[in-house]
Amino acid sequence: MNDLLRKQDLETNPMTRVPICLCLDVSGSMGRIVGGETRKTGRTVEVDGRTWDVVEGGITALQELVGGVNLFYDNLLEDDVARYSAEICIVTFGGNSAEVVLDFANLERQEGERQEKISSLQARGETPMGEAVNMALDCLEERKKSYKDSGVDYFQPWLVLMTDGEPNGDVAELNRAISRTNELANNRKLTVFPIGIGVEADMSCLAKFSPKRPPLRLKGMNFKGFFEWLSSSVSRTSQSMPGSKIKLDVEGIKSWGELD
Amino acid sequence: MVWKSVCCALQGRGHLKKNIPCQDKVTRREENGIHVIVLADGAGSAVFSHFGAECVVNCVAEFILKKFFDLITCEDGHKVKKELLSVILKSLEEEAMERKCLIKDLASTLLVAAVSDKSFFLAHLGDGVIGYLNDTGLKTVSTPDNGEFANETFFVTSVNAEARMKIYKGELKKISGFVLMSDGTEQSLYNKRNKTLAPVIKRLLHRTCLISPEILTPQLEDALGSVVIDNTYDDCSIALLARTSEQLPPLDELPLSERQTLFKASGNPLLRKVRQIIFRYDEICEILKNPITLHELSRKLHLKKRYVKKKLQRLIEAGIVIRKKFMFKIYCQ
Repeated sequence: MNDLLRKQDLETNPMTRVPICLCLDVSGSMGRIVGGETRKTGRTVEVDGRTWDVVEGGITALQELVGGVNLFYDNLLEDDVARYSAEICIVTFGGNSAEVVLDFANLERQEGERQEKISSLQARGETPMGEAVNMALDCLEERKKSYKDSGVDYFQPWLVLMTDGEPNGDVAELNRAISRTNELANNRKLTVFPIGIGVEADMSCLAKFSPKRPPLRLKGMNFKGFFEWLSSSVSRTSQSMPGSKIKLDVEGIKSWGELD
Repeated sequence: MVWKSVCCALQGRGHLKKNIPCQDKVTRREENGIHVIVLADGAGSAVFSHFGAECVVNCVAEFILKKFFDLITCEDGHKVKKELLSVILKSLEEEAMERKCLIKDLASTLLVAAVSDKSFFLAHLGDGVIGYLNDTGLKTVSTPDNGEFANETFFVTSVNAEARMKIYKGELKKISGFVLMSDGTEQSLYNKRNKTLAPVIKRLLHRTCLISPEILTPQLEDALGSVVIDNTYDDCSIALLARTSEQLPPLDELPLSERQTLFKASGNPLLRKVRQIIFRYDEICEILKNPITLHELSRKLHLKKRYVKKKLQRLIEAGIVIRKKFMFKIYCQ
C-alpha cells in the first residue's frame, strides 16, 4: 500500500443499471387451478369469455407466477452486483385495464412494498395486453430519461411479457404496442422476452411483439425455472463490460421453455 | 521544463475470473523532444483484442513521434484523422494476417496525448477519458463516447471510426499535465455526473514529474490494484504526462512535509535530527541538478563516499535520483 491513491480519493459513480419491466397477465384465467388438491363445489362461473368450474383448494397459475417473481427478486438480491444493478418495474393487465403495480426503484428500496403488492395480486377480468405493453414501454422510457439526467449508465432494457391467453383490449392500442416494441427491438433498443403460459396462450400474437426472438411456451407451470434463468441472465449482464456482446444462455432456456 | 510520463494497465476482476488476458494496453515514448502517451482498450467482444490494443498503442506512438509537427500544422482535421486511422488499420491488417483472424477481432478504443516543448496533440476514439491540468486546475477534454447503452462504444475498426474520432491540438501555454484513462479507471477517477476528474489526479501528475517511472510504475500498479480495481469488473489503465509548473512545483519548492514523504525519511519533522536528515537530502538534490559522479558528490559534501553512497541509494530507491553509468542526477528537471 502506498500514498498515491486512497479509497477516499476515488469518485463514487453509480452502478450501471439493467432496467427490467415485467408485464404480467393477471386476467381471470390466471385464477385457474394448476396444481394441488381440489374439491368441486358444483358451481360454475363465466370468466374471461369462458365457463369455469368453481373448486376449493389447489394452487392457481397466478400463485405460481407470484412465487416465480418473488424467487426472481430473491435471487437478484443475493447477487452482489445485480442487487444494485437490476431495477424492476411490474405492470399487470387484468380487469379492464393495465396498472403499474411497482414502479422502478433500487431492489432494496422496493423490498417492503414488493412483498405487499405482489402477494395482493388478484386474477380477474379481461386481457388488455396492448394497453399494458404501452404502459411498460412508457415506464422504460421514463426510467431511461432519469438515468440520462443523472449521469447513470445503463444496459439495454428488458421487457418480459407473460400471458396465458389472447389479448382482448383495444385493437388500436394493441397495434400501437406491437409497432413500438418492434421498432425498439429492431433498433437494438429493447430486449423482449415473450412467454406463453399454458396451452391456451396466443403464441402467434406474442410472436408479433418479438421480431428477433420467437416466443417461448413455459413448460408446464415452470415459473421457477424461468425466473431462475432470468435472474442469472440479469446477473451476467450486470457484470458485462463495454464492447462485449451480451449472450443469453440459450441452452439454459431448454430447462423451462419450449418453442411451439 | 522537461515532460515526464508513466503508465500502467491492470487485468480486471472479470477477466481474472474468466482467465482472459488484460485487454487494456498502454505505452509511453520520447524521441527528439516529442513525448507521447497512448492507451487502447481492447473490445470485450473481440477475441484477440489484447493483441489489437498492443498493436494500436505501438503503431500510434511510432507514427506520432515521426509526424508530430505535420499533425499539428495540418489545418485539415479530416486528413489528420484519415492518416492516423490508415496507419492503425494497416498495422492491424498485418497483425490479422499473422494471427489468421479478422480485423474486427482486434478492435480497440484509442486515447493519445503528445507534446513538444510548445504544442500538444490529442486524439480520442471510444470510451475512456482525456483530461489536462493548467494553471486553474484539472479539466476534462474528451468524455467517453458510448452508444446509448453501457456495453456499446466505438472502436478503431468501426465503420464510423473517422466520424467518431475527436482530435485536438494547440499551444501548451500553462498546461502542465495530461491524463488518459480507460473506462475501468474512469469508474474511480472520473465523476460521470459532473464530467470532472478526481482531484487526486493532480497528485498522480505531480509524482509523475518527481519520481522516476522505474519506481513510480510499480507504485501506480499497486495503487490501482489495491483500490481502483475493486470498483469495476473491467481492466484498469492510466497514462500520465506531466512537467513541473506552479501547480506541480519542483522538489526544492515543496514544503518540508512533502519532501520528507518523497525522501521516505521517517520520524517527527519537529525533531532537529529528522530535519537535518531532510536538509541533507535537499543538499544532495541541489547538487545533483547537474549530473556528477559519486566521487565528485562526496567531495562537494565533504563526506565519506561510503556515507554518500548510502544516501544516494535511498534517493534512487525513492525514485528521486537516477543513475546513468557512473553519473547521478535528480530525476525531476
